[in-house]
Order: sequence, then C-alpha cells, then structure tokens
Amino acid sequence: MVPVSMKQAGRAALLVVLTSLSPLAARGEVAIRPAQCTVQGMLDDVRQAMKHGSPALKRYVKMRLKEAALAMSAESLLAAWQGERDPEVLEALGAALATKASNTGAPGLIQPLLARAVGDADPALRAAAVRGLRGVPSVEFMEKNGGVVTYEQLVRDASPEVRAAVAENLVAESADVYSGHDRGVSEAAVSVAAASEDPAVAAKLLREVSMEAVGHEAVEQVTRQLRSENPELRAAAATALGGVPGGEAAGARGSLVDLYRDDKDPAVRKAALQGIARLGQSQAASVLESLRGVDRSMDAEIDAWLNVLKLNLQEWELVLREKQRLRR
Amino acid sequence: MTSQKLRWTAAAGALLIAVAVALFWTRDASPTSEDPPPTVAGHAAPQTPRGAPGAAAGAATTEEPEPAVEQLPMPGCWDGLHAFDASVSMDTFRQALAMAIGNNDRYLASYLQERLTELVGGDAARALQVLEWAQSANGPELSIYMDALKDAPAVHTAQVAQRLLKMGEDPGATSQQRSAALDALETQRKLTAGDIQRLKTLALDETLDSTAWVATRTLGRVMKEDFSRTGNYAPYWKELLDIGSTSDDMAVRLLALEMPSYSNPVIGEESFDSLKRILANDRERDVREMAAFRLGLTKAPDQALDIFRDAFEKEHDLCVRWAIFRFAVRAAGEKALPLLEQFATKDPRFTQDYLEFQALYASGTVDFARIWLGKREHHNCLVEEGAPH
Repeated sequence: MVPVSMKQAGRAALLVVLTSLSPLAARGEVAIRPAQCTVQGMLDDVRQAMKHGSPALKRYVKMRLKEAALAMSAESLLAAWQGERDPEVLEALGAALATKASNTGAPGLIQPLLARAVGDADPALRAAAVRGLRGVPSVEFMEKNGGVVTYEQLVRDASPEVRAAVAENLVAESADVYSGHDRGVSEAAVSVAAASEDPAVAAKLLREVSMEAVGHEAVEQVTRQLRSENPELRAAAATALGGVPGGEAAGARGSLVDLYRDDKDPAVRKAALQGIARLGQSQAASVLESLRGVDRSMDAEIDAWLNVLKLNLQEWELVLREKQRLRR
Repeated sequence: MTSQKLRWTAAAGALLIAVAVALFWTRDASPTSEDPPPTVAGHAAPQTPRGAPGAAAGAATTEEPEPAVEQLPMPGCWDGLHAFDASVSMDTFRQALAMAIGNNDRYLASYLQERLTELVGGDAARALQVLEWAQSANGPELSIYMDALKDAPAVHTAQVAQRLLKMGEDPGATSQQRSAALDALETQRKLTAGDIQRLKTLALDETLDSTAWVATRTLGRVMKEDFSRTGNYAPYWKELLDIGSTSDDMAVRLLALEMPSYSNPVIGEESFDSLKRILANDRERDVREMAAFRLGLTKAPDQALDIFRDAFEKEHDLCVRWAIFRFAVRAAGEKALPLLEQFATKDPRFTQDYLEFQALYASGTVDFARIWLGKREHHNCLVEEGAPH
C-alpha cells in the first residue's frame, strides 16, 4: 500500500505544481471539468467541433467516439445512427460502428451503413455512410453481409461524391488495411473500375490500388481498359498493368508495348513506359531501347528510364523514386 | 519493407520515447483532485445537459423513441471543452493539461498536445515559453511539451532549434529532458555541419546512455527529412557511419547503421571500407547484420557482392550469414544467384534458400520487395516486434 500512497502523493504534488502555475488556477477557476459520457453527448461534441472547433478538437472528438464505441452497446450506436442527419456526424458515427464491427468480428454491424449508403435520399448522407466504412475490411464485410450491397453497385450512384467515396475507400483499404497484398480487395477494385461509368473514378482505382496479387481474369479486365475512349483511364490501366504479378508480366508487357506504339496520347505513352520499366526493372532496358524513335518527343523519357535502370536497383519504389528525381 | 527486423527496430525506436508516457497512463488511475473522474452513466441522464441531439435531425427521427443514454467506462468526457478550445491561451493550456494528467485521460492529453502545436504555430516567443516550462517538467508533461513543439512551425526558427540543442547538451538538465530536447529536433529540415558535429559528440558520449541514442536517432531522422527534400544525405551518413564504427555502445552503433533504412539512400563505394570492416570485425552479431543490410542498397552491386563473398567465408554466425545471403539478393537481384549457389555449397543450411530465390526469380518477379514477401523463413533469425534478440 505504501508505494500506491507514494504514487498518489507524487501525482498530487505534480498536480499542485501544474495548477499553481496558472493565474486561472490561482483564482480557482477551472476551464474544463470531468463530465459523464453519453452517446448523445459525444455526438453533440462531434457536431459542434466539426462546425466551430480547432483541427485538433475535430480529430479528438472523432477519435474519442471511435474508441468509446468499443465500450458502448451496439444498440445505442445503432439508435443514434438511425436518427442522424448531419453528414459529418454520420460519417464519424459510421466509422465508430465499422471499427466496432472490425474489432469485435461482427460484420453485421455495418448493415445499417450499407442500407444508408444505398438508400438514403440525401447524396451527402449516402456519401457519409460510404466514408464511414473507410479503414476497415469493408469488401470482406460486404461479402459476409450477403453481397446485397457492393461497391460495384455504389460506384454507379448518381452522386459524384458517393462515387469518389467508393474509390477512396478501396484505395485506403488496399494500402492501409492490407499493405497492397490482398487479392480480394485488388480484384474488387478492378471490378468496380469496370462497372464504373465515371472514368475519373475508374482511373483512380486502377492507378492507385495495388495489383500485386490479382489473378489472370483481373489482368484481362485491366487490359480491356486500355481501349477506353478516356485517355486518363487508359493511362491508369497502363500503370496498373505495370504492377501485375510476375506470372502475368509477359502478357502485360506485350500489351504495353502495343499501347506505346499505337496510342498517340503523351500521358498514355508515358504510363506505358513506366509499366514496361516496372515489369522488367533492369531487364526492361532492351524493350525500352526498341521503342526509341516511335515518338521522338518521348525519347527523353525513355533515356531517363534507361539511366535509372542502370543503377540496378532491385526495389520498384526505389527505381521510381530515382526516376522522379531525374525527370517527373 | 524488406526486413522484418527493420520493422521491429522501427517500432522500437518510435516506441522508446512513448514508453514512459504509456507506463504512466497505465499505472494508478485514481484521480487526486476532488473532481470525479470521467464517469460512466448507465441509463441515467447525464449530470450536465448537453445540446439537443436533433438540431440537424430531420423527420426521420421525430417519431422514434428517445435512445437510451448509455454509460461508458472510457474514455473521458469534459464539460467546457468547446469554450476551452475556442479561447485557449498559454495560461489556460497548462491548467487543462493538469486536468488531463490528473485524470489519466490520454485522449485529452493527446488533443492538448495537438492544440499546443496549433497555439504555438510559428511564434518563436511562444515556443521559447514552452521550452521554459519544459525545463521544470518531467514525465508525460515534458513529453507533451516537447512533442507539441516538435510539430510546430516555430521549431524551425534558429532561435528555437539552437535552444533545443543547448538543452540537449546541458549537463545540468535531467537525462529525460536532454533526450526530449534532442528528440524535438528531429523534425528539422536540415542541420548545419556544426550542429551535426554537436549531435555526433553527444552520440559518442558513453556517459549519456539514452541521450546518446536519441542524438543518433535525431541525426538519422533529419537525414531522412533532408534527403527527401533535397537528396542530400552524405554529411549525415558520413558521421553516422563513423558512429557505427566507433561508439562503445552497441545500441548506438546499431542505430547509427540502421537510420538510413528509413530514407534508403543509395550508398556509394566511399562507404564500403568502413562497412566491410564492421561486417568483418564488430563483436556484436546485430551490428554485423546491419552492416550487411546497408551494403544491400548500393550503386556498386558487384563490389558489394565481393565484400559479401569474403565476409560469408569468414563469418561463423548463422544469422549473420543469412543476412549476407539475403542482402546480396537485395543488392544485385537475380545476378546474385550464382553467388548464392556458392554460399549454399559452402553451407548447405542455405540450399533451400538458394532454391527458393531461384524459383521466385524464375516466376517472373523482379521487385525484391515482392521476392522477399514470397520467401519462406528457415533460420529463426528475424525478430518479431517486441521480441528480445
């Protein structure tokens, strides 16, 4: 007991020292006071902070809600969810529910998010519901909820905000949840890109989601996007093909060489060169050399790649970094 | 990354400073003030009324029953939070921090740290005020001041940076204060040649223990920042390599050689003599492994393979040999396979590794990051996070 008492006495002393340093404390005024926590109180804190709070406060109240949700009953969270109409609060509450679903292994908890994402009349609330799923294994959760609502469905939403949220979720899930290694998320991203009627969204998915684990069918889907009428999407598909698994490299390389020869768009050609460089790294030099002269304006880009590949770096991230130092 | 050990060391480095804070938070949770701790309310109404939840609620909520009020064990809730946030000053900040510490509320403390960063902003006078506080602080209070300062733009003013460096050098300050001051320097965008030498002097001072380690880490972290902005790493690496060669403290030597792992500069032949010496002679296996790691990313892979060949021959420790083996692949990729075959012939414990690397390259994979992901582990040498080595 003595050590505990000493600890308490020590901390009491620290508190005295700290509070004695403030003029307010000297006058006995207290700026903040401990209060009881309630679901509604926390949601009101989020609501008010998002409107008037400092950036630090906004982060704090959202984080606190997410952490507290782990201890809250699901019923109270779901009740609050049903009635919430503020998009920022809804997103924070959705993130809290999704985190609870992830931490407790209860994917059913995201069903209300899916229902809202697909069914709310307000596009801002639909987008908020989608964003609430960010940072959790949402693709797997959707499957475990029967695949009734999917990202392929959500990406066809009339609202650009919802479509953008879908792409952001998949990019974040691939990179942050799975470090790019999950085949299911990568293939879902390819399917969603194919289902999308918004070329910017499809391009973002193909450009930013890792392709390292995709299977042959997904590679074929990406290859078909090389024939898109949209040059941004063709360039993104070329970037994606550069990242496919080694077993798919030969076919992808052939597609990219054809693309470079046939496509007149400079951004597409530049992406094709990058894809070729990535597929072969130091072994790509001969292929790149063979493309010199196809488009004189791109020869400097080929030279930049050849110079970097001479360094014999063995990791793509480092190859790309050094290339960007030479020429963006 | 390409080494599980790297992940461990990165996490260990990041955690070191936080450990003291974490220990504090997890000790005695009972508050010492007369205020009740943040409490949990069952189905009772909260003591302090809050704004009506339905300010923005539409028709959907009007006919639904009032949700039950839930009582929560953690984290804490606070009245007056929004007013505090809107009106916070250097004076009121410390009072709130005392409340956070006294009530053991790490989330509030984290908010306050970020709010202090915002409050200081680019104002050097405020930053110096925080440093004044830090001179009489310890424990989580000190950490919060210094971590807040680290992220404030004012830390880049020469006045503040020099004050931090002086505090790190001050023999009258506590070890914790000196370490915290040097840690706060890690967000600098670059260091002058003179400041690099001052940090190196601290790093090589064997009487300083953890402060020497933090000085080494700060050198490496500013190297990362400078390298990412300008491509400049050589002045830092030259001194880190010297520290890695000469420090008496094994943890400092190891860290000095490890720090380039976070920025991955492609080193040249000018570093080879030192790395070769360390790889051959350092008495600690971990340090020899780290030297092999450094040789794995170079503009001169053929020379690196020559060094690896000699070192493998003379080395008897299985784990150092395994480091040489795999970092030869990182240095030269598929071109390292003939050397790996020689290694496997000399030491059959590596036959399976050779065959697996060979098969991985035969599959068409060329990126070492992916090669490594597909490689099985046979030697029980890679340390998982938090495990002793």
